Amino acid sequence: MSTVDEIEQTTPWERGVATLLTVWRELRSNPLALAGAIIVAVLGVVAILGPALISQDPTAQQLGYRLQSPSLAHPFGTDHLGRDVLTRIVYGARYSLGIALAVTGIRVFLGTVVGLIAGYVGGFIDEALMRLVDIQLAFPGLILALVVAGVLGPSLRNVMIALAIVGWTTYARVVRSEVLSVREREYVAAARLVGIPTHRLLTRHLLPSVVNPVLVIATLNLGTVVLATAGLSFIGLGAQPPTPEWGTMLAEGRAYLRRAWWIVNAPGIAIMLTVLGFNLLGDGLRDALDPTQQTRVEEV
Amino acid sequence: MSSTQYLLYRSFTSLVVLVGVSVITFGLIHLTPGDPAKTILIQQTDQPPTEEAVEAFRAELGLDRPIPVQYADWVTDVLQGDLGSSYYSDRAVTELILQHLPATIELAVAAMVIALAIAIPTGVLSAVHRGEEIDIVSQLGALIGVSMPNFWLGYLLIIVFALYLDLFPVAGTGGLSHLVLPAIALGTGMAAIVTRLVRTSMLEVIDRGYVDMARSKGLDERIVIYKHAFRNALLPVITVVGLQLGFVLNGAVVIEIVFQRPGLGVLLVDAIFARDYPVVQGIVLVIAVTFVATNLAVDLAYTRLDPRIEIGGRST
Amino acid sequence: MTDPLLRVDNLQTHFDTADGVVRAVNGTSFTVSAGEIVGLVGESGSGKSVTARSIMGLQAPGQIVEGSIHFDGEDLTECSDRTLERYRGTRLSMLFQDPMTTLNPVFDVGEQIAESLRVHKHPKQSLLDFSHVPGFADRSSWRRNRERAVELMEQVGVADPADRVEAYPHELSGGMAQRAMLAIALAGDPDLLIADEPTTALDMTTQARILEQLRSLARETETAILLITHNLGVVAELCDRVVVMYGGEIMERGPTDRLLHAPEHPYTIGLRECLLDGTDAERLDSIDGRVPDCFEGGSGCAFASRCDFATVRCSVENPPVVDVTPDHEVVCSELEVVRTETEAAAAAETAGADIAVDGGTPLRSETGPDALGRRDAVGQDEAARSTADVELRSDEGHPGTPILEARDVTKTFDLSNSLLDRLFGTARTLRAIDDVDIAVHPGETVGIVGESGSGKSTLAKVLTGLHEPTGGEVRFDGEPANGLASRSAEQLADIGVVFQAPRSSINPRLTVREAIAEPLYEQGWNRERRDRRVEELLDLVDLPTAVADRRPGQLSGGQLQRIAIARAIALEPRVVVFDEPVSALDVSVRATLLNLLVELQDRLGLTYLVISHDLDVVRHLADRIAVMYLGEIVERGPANTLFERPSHPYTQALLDAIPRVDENDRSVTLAGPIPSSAERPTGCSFHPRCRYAVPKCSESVPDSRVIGAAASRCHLAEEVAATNDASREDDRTQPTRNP
Repeated sequence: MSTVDEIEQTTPWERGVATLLTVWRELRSNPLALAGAIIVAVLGVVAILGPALISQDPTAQQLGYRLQSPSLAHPFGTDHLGRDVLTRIVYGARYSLGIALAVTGIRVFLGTVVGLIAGYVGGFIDEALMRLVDIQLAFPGLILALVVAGVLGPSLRNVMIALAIVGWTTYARVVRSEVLSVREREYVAAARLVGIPTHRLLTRHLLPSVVNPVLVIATLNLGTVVLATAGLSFIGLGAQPPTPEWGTMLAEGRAYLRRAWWIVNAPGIAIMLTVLGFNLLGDGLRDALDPTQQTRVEEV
Repeated sequence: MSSTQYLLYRSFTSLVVLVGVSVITFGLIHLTPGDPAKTILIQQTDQPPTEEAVEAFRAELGLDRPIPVQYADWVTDVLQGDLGSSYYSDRAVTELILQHLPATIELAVAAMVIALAIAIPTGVLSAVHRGEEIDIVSQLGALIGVSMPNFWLGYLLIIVFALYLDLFPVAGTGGLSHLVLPAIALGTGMAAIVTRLVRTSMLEVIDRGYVDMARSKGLDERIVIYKHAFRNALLPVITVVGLQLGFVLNGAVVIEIVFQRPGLGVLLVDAIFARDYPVVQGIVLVIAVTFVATNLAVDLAYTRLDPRIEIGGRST
Repeated sequence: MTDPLLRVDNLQTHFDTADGVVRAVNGTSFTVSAGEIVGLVGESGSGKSVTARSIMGLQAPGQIVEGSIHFDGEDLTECSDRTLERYRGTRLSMLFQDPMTTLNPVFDVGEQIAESLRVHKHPKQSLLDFSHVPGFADRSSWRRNRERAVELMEQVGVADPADRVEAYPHELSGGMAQRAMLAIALAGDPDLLIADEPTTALDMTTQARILEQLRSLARETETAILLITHNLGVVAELCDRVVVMYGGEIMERGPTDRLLHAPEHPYTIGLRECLLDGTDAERLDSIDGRVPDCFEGGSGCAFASRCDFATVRCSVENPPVVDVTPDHEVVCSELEVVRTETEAAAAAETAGADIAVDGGTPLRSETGPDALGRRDAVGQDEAARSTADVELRSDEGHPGTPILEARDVTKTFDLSNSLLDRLFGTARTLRAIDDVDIAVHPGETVGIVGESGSGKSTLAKVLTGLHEPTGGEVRFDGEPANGLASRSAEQLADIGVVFQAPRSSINPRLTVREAIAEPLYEQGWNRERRDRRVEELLDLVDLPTAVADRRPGQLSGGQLQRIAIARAIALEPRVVVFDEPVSALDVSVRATLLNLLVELQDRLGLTYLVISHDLDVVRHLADRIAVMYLGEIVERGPANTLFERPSHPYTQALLDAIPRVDENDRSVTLAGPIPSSAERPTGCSFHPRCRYAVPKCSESVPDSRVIGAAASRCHLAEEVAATNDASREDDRTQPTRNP
């Protein structure tokens, strides 16, 4: 096949650009999704640059300034150890977003591989993989993660491991059913009729149609992971004090609900905004990329 | 295949799943880094134990035998209803679970009722009035509900209704008044999820041919929506509400901690921190079995609700 | 009797979309009187369905912006929602196109009919009552309604109504479901029934029976029927008057006879000429261009952009309504020109036809054995019997190796879809095709016809290699070629395939260029050669080169099908297999596409295998035809022989079921639906539906008998052929007697 030039038709890169353009056009016309994109972008900037801009140490205790209500010096107030809550929130964004990205990445990888194999190979392997998914789904996700993280020992790393292994099943199922339905399309039959080898069938016809739904689910999933990480930390299994993690901060504020409401509300709002951002963006992406939705729009 | 056969088939696959569940539940404690016996002893006595003490403790727990033998013993006991006893209190695990279960069930049921009562009418209205104000408001509300961590919502409720307005107790159990805030905290999040789901699946069916058909028969719009459209939209909702049981349990753990309700969640978390493995295994097993049973029930209900489902054809 | 029951006047229904206002219905006027059947005809996008829905008040999200709909004196566009709701249940009914999506899947048929009855008799509706909430529902009334539902189902011709009333929609065949819909519509005892493409989703033989029911409904109960259809044959069959729509506007309206036989409007003339009504013309007349996706509205004639006669005036000013006769109106600015030119053309055609008659050789009869066959049928029982045990090879009369051949091919599918079936041993198999022989020789076109479920598509998949045969052998050019895996690159390149649904046969994510070039890429062509070839191919299928960089979503069905054809012939295959190549397309598009197929075959010397449920399409293209029923080939032979003198009752029934513009009465001969291949009847599998059936038919499987040039698997083939010979001879003598 040396006569074949390597630059085949459109490259994945070109296709990626085309997708981005579609997404951008859609986002511009969808204010909610645009709001989501802005929230996510701002959070990203805060997580990356924030710590560099803030000179304060998130763990520095100033016992003389305990439980100060919000003021100019401390916009979000201070906590029971006199630490600046805003500083801790900014640092916390790193943990939340970092973990969300890492966990979702692992989930997407595991789930897509399993789903592709199950859907394409079929037969006994499919049956076995899907039973594995069933077994996994017999445990409520957070509880399984809770137990795994608990047994491994409380730490952020273990929370990540626990969340990654409980969440891949969604991707496996979606990818599998997408592969099964695309496999029945006539254009795949047409491709097989001209003798397209399996690996190219996968990369050209099956994988691209899997990308969009996975992208949508992954975006929504980032929010779920943020919530779960915070939840596990809140219970005490994730980040340990004095780490400025949002869930941990909420847990620490419990004793001061009456005297210092800001300690729990600042991280609460931070978590909510983050998740909201991912949800808005995910919904917008679904409208932009989900082909069934798109045809419905066209039909009207 | 007949429905009896289908029942048998689903029971069979559920059995396969349960075997997997038991293996995982049993295997969980072996994830512990290092020697479980030693770790537990350290935790119990707060000082490095002697080698003999560890040996003795290991023998006492049966951890010195080969793992398959341990598993077989454990399964045999479980099948006889014996989940072992706590490392600390020597109380039977089943007894502990039964003691904590009612608080969790109360919470779960109350939350579920609140969630459905809010979600179904909101979701249907939202879909019927797609794009109108009522839809935008309820969609935004649902989005915020989905995005809110329920433990924070719990705190908000405590701050406003318990601390400032002093309408409900802050924490603990007893009476309906202790149930209100936790149930709202847990139910709201669920309501948000189910609202979005009801809306989506209503939109899915609302321009189907049979809805117009129902209108063309001269049926009242309310009957068209709630009988013809909603009945079809209900099917995916039921599956997810079945799965929501898992969500309720997930949420219940956290909410129980927020409101310090002595339920299964608190028991589980305490056991995890104490490395009281028989209790952890017992709770996980009970939850998983309940979950599998619910899904089985939902599946069977599904075949009655949706006559199209070719029995047996809906394997994943 | 002064006022018609329904009077639609200057109706305009518009849709607000992101791309502006779509004028789906743009000034439509017509009337329907009691007992009358009026046809509303047009291609997709003509606004006929929206018109129907507007009458029912179901036009949302569209809006009626102008005009009136007077029903029995009351204007439906003015009255309240409640009045409209009330009318819908009691005086107006609608029959929708696809019964499978319009019956509610979660209620049984009885419930859905009972609802209609309840609405009709008991105008005050409560949700609790309709939800059968104990204590709130009037149970005795519902019970009575269900009993009445059984009667209604019996009335519309549902067999075993007492059982079927309990059936859920998915348990019914398409024809049964459409009858159930009819029962629902009739439960309201309507004065006006609107039928929106009521038979389009059905098999030909089922369609014939539903039409029969509609006709008797109009005759016996004086129900007015507005029939929406794209099929002129159906119109001829049923309608008293016709309204032709295009682009939301009325083009022509008048009595059926006049519109079909003396159409005046260029669009009606075009539609009429697109028809394949069994004539042997090589090239079909068609309408240029395609139906635009949406019409701008404004002034001018909607059809101007596609009209051969269009002048500047047509696209600028609104065409006048010309009364040809008091009840025949044509909306056209250039009617005079159209008249003179069509008359001239008709005169030329008659002259040409005379020559053909003089020559005495109708087209295609060069395959010869037609005449021979007729003689055979009369006296050669003996000969037929002697070859009866010999399986007649399909390549009869063709020397040499067939290019594509199936020998005794059987394909079975495992219906057991789960572990459980295996566990309980309830596994069932479906014999989709059973011991089929077929051969395609270089240069010819072979057609395969049959209703849905006949196994024709499975046969196509086996021949192309997408399915591996369970038994028997597929040969390509004499070499075994079963599954795809066992085919060489050359063999793959030598067969092109075109599928039914153009939308799903081209990956929506690829550009047209990529899609067409896919086979070239696999053969190792470099980019430059590929691009050149793609341009050549686009040119061959009459598409502009600019299309190459578009994506499928931006193209119409007809264009996509051309692209699918371009891809199929990219590697210069020797055989092209077409699976329902035109059934998803509009009449005018269909005609141009069929012309293209004929032209490509001539230019490239291709061999075709055409699979279709549409006998006219197959007849138009094929030299030889095989008729399939329940996985078997029941009759085969030269196209003309099969159509002129079918010797299998099934072939005959299929032919009889085609609604024709030129024939008015015909007998419906097929009873019941096609059985599932999983429950094949004993003996001849067709006997339960056959009108000739004798006891022998249910006992022994008929062998293939040679009847002239054809071969037929029927115990009574000779009798059937003789009957048809006689009756068709009668038909023929009439028109050809004049010289």
